[in-house]
Amino acid sequence: MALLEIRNLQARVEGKEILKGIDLSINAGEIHAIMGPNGSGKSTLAQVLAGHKAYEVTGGEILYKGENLLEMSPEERACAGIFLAFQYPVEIPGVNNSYFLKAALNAIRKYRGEPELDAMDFLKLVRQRMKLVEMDEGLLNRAVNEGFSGGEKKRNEIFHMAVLNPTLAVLDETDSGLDIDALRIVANGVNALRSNERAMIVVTHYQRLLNYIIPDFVHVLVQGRIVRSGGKDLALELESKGYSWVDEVTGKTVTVR
Amino acid sequence: MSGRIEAPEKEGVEQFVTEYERVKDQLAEQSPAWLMERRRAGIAAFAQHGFPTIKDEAWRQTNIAPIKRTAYQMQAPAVSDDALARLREQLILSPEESYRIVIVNGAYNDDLSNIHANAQSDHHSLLMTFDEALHSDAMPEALGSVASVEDNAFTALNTALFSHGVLLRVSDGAALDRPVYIVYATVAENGAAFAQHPRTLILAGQSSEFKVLEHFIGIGDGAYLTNHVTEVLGGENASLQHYKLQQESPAAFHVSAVRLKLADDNVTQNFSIALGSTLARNEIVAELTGSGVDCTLNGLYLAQGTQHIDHHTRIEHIAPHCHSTEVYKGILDEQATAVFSGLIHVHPNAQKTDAVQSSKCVLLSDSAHVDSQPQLKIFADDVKCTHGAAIGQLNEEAVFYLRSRGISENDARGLLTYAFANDIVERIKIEPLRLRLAEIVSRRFNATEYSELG
Repeated sequence: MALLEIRNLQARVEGKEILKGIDLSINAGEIHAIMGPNGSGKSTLAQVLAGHKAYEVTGGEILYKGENLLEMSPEERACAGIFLAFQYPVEIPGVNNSYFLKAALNAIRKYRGEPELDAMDFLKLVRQRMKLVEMDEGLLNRAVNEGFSGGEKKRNEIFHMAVLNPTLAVLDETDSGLDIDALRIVANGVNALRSNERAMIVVTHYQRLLNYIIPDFVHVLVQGRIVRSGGKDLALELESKGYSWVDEVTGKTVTVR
Repeated sequence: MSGRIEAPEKEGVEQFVTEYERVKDQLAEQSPAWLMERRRAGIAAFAQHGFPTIKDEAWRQTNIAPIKRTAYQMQAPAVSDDALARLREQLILSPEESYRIVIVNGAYNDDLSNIHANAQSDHHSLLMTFDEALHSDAMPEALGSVASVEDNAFTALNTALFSHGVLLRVSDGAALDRPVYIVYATVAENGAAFAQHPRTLILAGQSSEFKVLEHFIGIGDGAYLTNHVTEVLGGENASLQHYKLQQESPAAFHVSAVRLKLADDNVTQNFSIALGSTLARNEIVAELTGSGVDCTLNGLYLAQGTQHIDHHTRIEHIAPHCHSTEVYKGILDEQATAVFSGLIHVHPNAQKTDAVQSSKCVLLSDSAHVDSQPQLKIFADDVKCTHGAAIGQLNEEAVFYLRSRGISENDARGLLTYAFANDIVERIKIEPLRLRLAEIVSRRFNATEYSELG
């Protein structure tokens, strides 16, 4: 059984049809890249997986570990091991980054019947995970994302992921707005978290990220449909030929699966 | 609109005028001539104008009819030992960490106070009850010079009738080593409603430094009126923080005027934290009479049920080169209502004024309502003034962000509400007060686990 099984998924935002029938199967240990031009539905797919209520599912189904994901609340999904790294992480004035993370981690542990971590154990874990993304300890004691630079916000997302230890991580354009050094740091963090138990969906507009995070599969999303799927070389092909090439291919209804 | 028989502003007036007639001889015995003169002017102004009505612009959104229609006993009832024990639990600053003066139902409570036990490092500063100040002829004529009987009916009434209060005089250059903690506690267990008029006078000497907390505590479910006035004369280059925490009983009326008059280079921070009472009206007026003043007005109000909490603030920029910052936040639930009116008045002479005002209110229910009125009146041309007001619900994107990390919707909302209020709580510089408020706020919004956030 696949970890995640998406079948004929259709979704709309503010009445507009965005996803028009997505099929995708992801096994534990795999990294899938989802590429596509702006407006193709990449972020919609990410938000639907996390359960944002503004994205209305109008058809199809999603099975996560064999269960109906669409019936689960966002927090249940998180507790069941799904993590979304936001394209635009939200600033939350007045909420301390470290305590927020501790609350989240303990909510998840409680859901799983594990004992909550005390302050000492939590700090130990956090210090160790911060190294993965070379994060400054100062960011730990600031309000969540408030006043963080673009790079700091993205790094904070990967740091959260490292602490929460999800089974399925969805990275929504984690590379956008990052300079090359920040990109390398974020990618190193992600690579350090690769494991046989964990699957990742890397949503990106650019091939560049995939030089650092090597995917097992690449899917090209255009106008709400996956028009091509292939191995990591597909990303390179896209890079050299551009998305317009895919559009042409689409016209000829080529599906590789 | 003819045929009006009774004047609404006269409603409820007579009982207080009668009381004044009854006690005036007694007051005259205790009050120096200049004070008695002010008391007479107070009762005259009150009798003449009566209580404000909703036709008065400044009282349009706060209907004080329930205050006027209540018949009051003029003497507070006796206090049981049990009530005192409950009061003790509500006190925030211990005698070891403060200069504490506790007044319960108008009477100074020696057991709970510590003003004499601790020799202060600076012997010229004074902290005493008005009883004592009057007996020792130490009552400064400044009383009534900042809060005028012409300000409004309540201040006039307080001036005429106040029988208890606190005098704090910090001498030039003195820095108090701990906060002054003034507690006006009211025990109203049951029985008839009663009225009290506490009064505080704070004189900050030149270059003095100190913090004061005025704490209003209600014990019991009975009805009563607290009609409070505090005057602060902030001396040149003095640095002071004035905190007022209002935790009156659920059936209480709380009317309060805090008036600040600040001289050159004075740095004053004022906090109004309103949690209790059924109907509360707070007026905070800062007169920046000296140049180079830095004045901060912060406020936090939390209301639920049918509570109504009104803040009217006014900053008078009279002299040039002054800076004022004002941040007010409110959280309303159920059918609660609130008013925020903030006026920044820049006088013609007040060039280089820099004034910032912000008022935000979160409504947790559809039935809650807030009236927010920021106002600028600017009569100088070289000034920088900004104001902003926001009313609304919690940021739904933030709610989703928290939920997507595993926090339940209920907890996410509690946490965000707590964080909104915590922005004000964090500015509080008296540590035990800050911690107590963080605890109160987190408990109120079921964010108990996150109370360590600050």
